[in-house]
Amino acid sequence: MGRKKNQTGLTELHWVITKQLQDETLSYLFQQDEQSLFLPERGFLGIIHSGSGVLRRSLFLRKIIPQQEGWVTWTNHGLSFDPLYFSQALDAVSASALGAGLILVHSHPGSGGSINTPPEPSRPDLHHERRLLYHLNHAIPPGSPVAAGIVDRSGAWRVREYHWPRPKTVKEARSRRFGIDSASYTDASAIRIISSDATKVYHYGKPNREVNAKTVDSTLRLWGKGGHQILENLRVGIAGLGGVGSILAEYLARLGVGELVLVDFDEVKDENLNRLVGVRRNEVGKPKIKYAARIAKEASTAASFNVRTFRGSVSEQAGLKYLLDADIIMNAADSAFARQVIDHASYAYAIPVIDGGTTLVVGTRAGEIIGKSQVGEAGPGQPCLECSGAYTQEEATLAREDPTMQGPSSYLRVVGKETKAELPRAPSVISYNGLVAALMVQRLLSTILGFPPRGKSGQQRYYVELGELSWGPTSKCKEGCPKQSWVGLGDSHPVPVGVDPLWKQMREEAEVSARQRRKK
Amino acid sequence: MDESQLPPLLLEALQILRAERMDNTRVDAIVDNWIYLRLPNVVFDETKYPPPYSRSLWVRIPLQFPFANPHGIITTEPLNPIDGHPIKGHNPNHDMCTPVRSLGGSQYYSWTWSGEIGPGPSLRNPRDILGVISWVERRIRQA
Repeated sequence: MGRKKNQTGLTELHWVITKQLQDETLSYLFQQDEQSLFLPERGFLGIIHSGSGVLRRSLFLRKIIPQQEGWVTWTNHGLSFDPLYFSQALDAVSASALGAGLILVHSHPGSGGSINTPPEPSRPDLHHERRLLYHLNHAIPPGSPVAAGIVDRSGAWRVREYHWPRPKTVKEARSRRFGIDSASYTDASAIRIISSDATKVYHYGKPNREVNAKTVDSTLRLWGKGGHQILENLRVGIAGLGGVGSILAEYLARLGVGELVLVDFDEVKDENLNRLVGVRRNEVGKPKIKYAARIAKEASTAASFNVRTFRGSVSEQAGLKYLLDADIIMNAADSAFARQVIDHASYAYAIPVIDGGTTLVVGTRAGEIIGKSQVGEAGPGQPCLECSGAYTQEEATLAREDPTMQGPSSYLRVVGKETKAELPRAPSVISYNGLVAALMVQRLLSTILGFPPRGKSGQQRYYVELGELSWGPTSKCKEGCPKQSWVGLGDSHPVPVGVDPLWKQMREEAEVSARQRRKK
Repeated sequence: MDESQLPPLLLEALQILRAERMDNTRVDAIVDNWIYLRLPNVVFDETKYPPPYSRSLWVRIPLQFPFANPHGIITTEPLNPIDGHPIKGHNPNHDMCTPVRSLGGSQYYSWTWSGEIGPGPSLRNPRDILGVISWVERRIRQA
């Protein structure tokens, strides 16, 4: 058996759990009044799902499988699981969404210093879990994840995903090369605990980088070195690098965030020069992600900063994959299609989303402008973007049409106009973009660092004609909204990605001009 | 048309539709985010339309059904109500007909799910495909 980097080809494995399930786990495995170091171990089986980005694979705990008294017992030979419990677990896998797998969890009651330090497995731990999981692995559909976990009192997890080669012939099945000891495993390098108001990411085996105290002096006083180290280890995805997204990239880099993932398909145009902060005239015609990456690199105060870019649409599978590597997503893509995709992904992959944008409506009467800037959040425990009014399914549907067939764009509605082709360019004002970006970053700090302490959550709206900032009415999803039931389904949930018609049009135009250039 | 590459939720919806409502529906084209689904016997209201009272037409269903709504229908002949009133959203020989033009599709009606006759029922799971036929028939009746 060998510890391998990652059998799926990805370089990271994260263990993801909601705060609710983390609390349930601790109360299942530890009794409050137990103090002795020589306490019985306890265990359970859980339903897990997996989800993959470009670099990172995540395992999500969906459910602890209930057990009857006596099904998991502590004996002289270690923890014993009754076959009836395995049978119950296999039934639970069958009843779950396709792709469900199993985790075998047990406690280490004697250890538990800090949630930042995972418990170490003993040799008997590895021996027993390998034997038990080998048989479970063969009883569930191929490709379903199997894992083992150890939890200590502090709530720290050690999670290993196991892989066995699948025999293709009877001869192979009888060979030792496909037996119990042919297992390899991948250790989770981080645990993400998600609740409605906070995301905690604990990285294991990652050395804490030195904070550059000189450059972050003013914020060091607010959230300390510990807070800065959290930001250093944070990976933030930004969808859309236009007026709002480019400001976000700079703000986050200046704050000391260690890694950004930027996804956008658009190019810098002359019309963007009045709102893309720091853009140079010689960047007109270049992809926005390149410009935003440059700004972020120049602005970064982190001891070690990395920015990854992908030119594409987050409404398409390839673009979404990049965002699935992020610990938190900032959505500044102003399309109902993108919002819907990110909304679904935030629940299925348990990645909190902070969304923002401005709608300006130009009326038919001279000077008539109404509209609002809006910032909100989605993800486990939060009302979804759809129920909060950030988009409707109908808007997301129409955004799937060819641009010439679409109605007025989501951020501009001109009364009396019928098609996008007839519309003037959408109004966008740098000050509204700055306002939205600032509110979004405040939300991120609150979610990641608890600064400022969270009072209220939901939609915050700035009404242009009133000059007022107020809270929106939605504090929970509408009745019948299924999104909370998707939390942790990972790749088992069909996120409604497709073909982004605007990006497709751009690709086709680029192909035509490339052909013309070749002809000349 | 090979349907095996369609997303699982849409495939499930088509299976339900064929098993419970119209057994010989057919996917005639897949273009970007849309399939052109041929419904073989849509009922036309006798008080509003001349015969035949059962006609075939195509409805555009998103590949991401039920997370996106149907949008638009295509017919081989224009819909001509008995009273002769013009029908809104009628686009003869529109580009949207191209995928099924060789099969006779030539009249595009750009009807949205949440259109002039009020919002269609909310779509949440593959079974809701059954409501799409009722919506098409209701939309034609009230066109």
